[in-house]
Amino acid sequence: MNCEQLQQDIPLYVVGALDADEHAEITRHLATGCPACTAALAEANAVAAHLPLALQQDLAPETAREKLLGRVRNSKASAAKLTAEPKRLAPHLRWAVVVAGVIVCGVIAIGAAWFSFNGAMQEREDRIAELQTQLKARDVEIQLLEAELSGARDTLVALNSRELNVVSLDRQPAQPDTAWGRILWDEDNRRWHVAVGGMKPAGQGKTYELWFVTAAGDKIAADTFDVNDRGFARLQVDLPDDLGELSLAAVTDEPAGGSTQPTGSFQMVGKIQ
Amino acid sequence: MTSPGTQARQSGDDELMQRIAEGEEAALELLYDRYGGLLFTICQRVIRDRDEAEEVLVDVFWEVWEKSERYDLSRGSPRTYLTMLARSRAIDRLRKTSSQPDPPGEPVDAAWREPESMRPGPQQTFADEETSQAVVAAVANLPDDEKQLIELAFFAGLSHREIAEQVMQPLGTIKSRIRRGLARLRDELNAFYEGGSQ
Repeated sequence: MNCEQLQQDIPLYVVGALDADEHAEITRHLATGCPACTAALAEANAVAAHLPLALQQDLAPETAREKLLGRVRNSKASAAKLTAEPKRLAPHLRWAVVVAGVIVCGVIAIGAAWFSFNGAMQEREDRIAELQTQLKARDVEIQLLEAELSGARDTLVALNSRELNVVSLDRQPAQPDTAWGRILWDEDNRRWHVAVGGMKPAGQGKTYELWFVTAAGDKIAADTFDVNDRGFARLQVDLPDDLGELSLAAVTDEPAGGSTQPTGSFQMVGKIQ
Repeated sequence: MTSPGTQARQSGDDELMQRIAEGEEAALELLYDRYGGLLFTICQRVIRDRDEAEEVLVDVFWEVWEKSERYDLSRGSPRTYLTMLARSRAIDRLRKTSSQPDPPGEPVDAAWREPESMRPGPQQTFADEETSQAVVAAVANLPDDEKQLIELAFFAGLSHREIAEQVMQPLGTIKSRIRRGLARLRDELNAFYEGGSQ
C-alpha cells in the first residue's frame, strides 16, 4: 500500500480495528518518520482518546491508589538498599560466604546449560506459534474471500428483483474519458449495487464518496470507496428508510475518511428518473 | 484540538509528566487523582471485571512511573497518551484472560450514555464536563451502525475482520463506516473546540 492508502487506515489503526499484518505495515511505515502519516496519527489518536469521555465516569478506587504508591515506595526502598554501603562481615562468617558463592556459581552454571537447552526449545515453540498465526491469517483471508464472493452473489441475485432500475453515472470533466459507472437499484431490497471503472485514483490523502441527493437538495453520505489500479471499484449500499425521493446519485472526491457533507468536486453524476 | 480551558489543563499535565520523569511521587499521586477515574472507566468497560480492571489500572500508572521516558509531548497530550495506554493494556489483559467479547446484537446504548442521562464525574472540572457533554452529543449523533462498529473496535478490541464476521457485513463496509464515524466525530470535536476558542 502507498502512503495515501495507509493514511486512510490510520483511524482504524488507532482504534485497533486492523488485523495483525495491516497493523504491522502501518507501524513500519510510521517508524520511517513520514510527516504526513505522523500528523494523521496524532490527529486520529486525539479523536479516539475522546471516546471514553462519552461513558459514565467511575471513581478511581482508593485501593488501587494505595497499591500503586506501595509499589513505588517498595521500589524506592529496594533501590536505596542496593546503593547502601555493605557492612563488613565477621571473620568467622566469611568462609560461609565463600562456600555459598561456590554453590551459587555451580547453580548458575547448571542453570546456563538448562537455559541454553530451553532456548532452543523456546525458538522451536516461537516458530510454531508464528506458523499458527500465519495459518490463522490464511483462515481469515479465506473468510474474507467468501464474504466477497457472497457480495458478488448478492449482486447476481439482485438481477432477479421485480423492481430493478439501472442508473448510469456520467463522468464529469475531472475524470478521464475511460471513466464509467452503473448503479443497479434493487428496489425490493432497498439496495444499490454500484460498479465504477476507468476512474483515476482519488489522489493523495483523498477518497471518493458516493452521495444520495434528494429532490429537496439534501446530500446524504452513502459510502466511501477507492478504485484499484484499473480504476475499478464495486460496492453495495443499503438505502436508509427515511431517504425520501431521490433526484441524483453523485460521486465527489473528499478527504481520507470521508465527509459528512460534500466538500470536493463532482466526479460522477447520475440522474434518477 | 483544544479549547483555552483544555490548554490550561494540558500545560499542567505536561508539568506533572515532567515531574514524574524526575521521580516525584507527589506528581504521580496528582496524576492518579486527575485521571484515575477516566482510566478506570476505560479498563472496566473493556475488561468488564472490577478486580481485573483495578489491577490493570495500577499497572498503567506503574508503567507511567517506571517508563516515563516513553511519553513524548510532541505526539499528543498526556490525556491522549494515558487514555490510549490504558485502553491498550486493558485489551492486552482481555485477550490474555480470554474474556468473551460482547455478544452479537448487544444494544448500542449499552456503552454510550444519552446526553440527558450524563451526570458530572466527581473529578471533572467545568472544562472537563463541557468536553464530556460535547463528546456524548457527538457520539449520540452518530448513526447506530457507526456507533456500534466503533464500540466493537475500540472497547471490545475486535479487528475489522472479526467485526465483519460478528455483524455479518462486508469488510469494506465495516472499514468505511468506522472511518466515516471517526471523521464525523473529528468534525464535531473540531467545531466544539473552535467555538470555545472564540
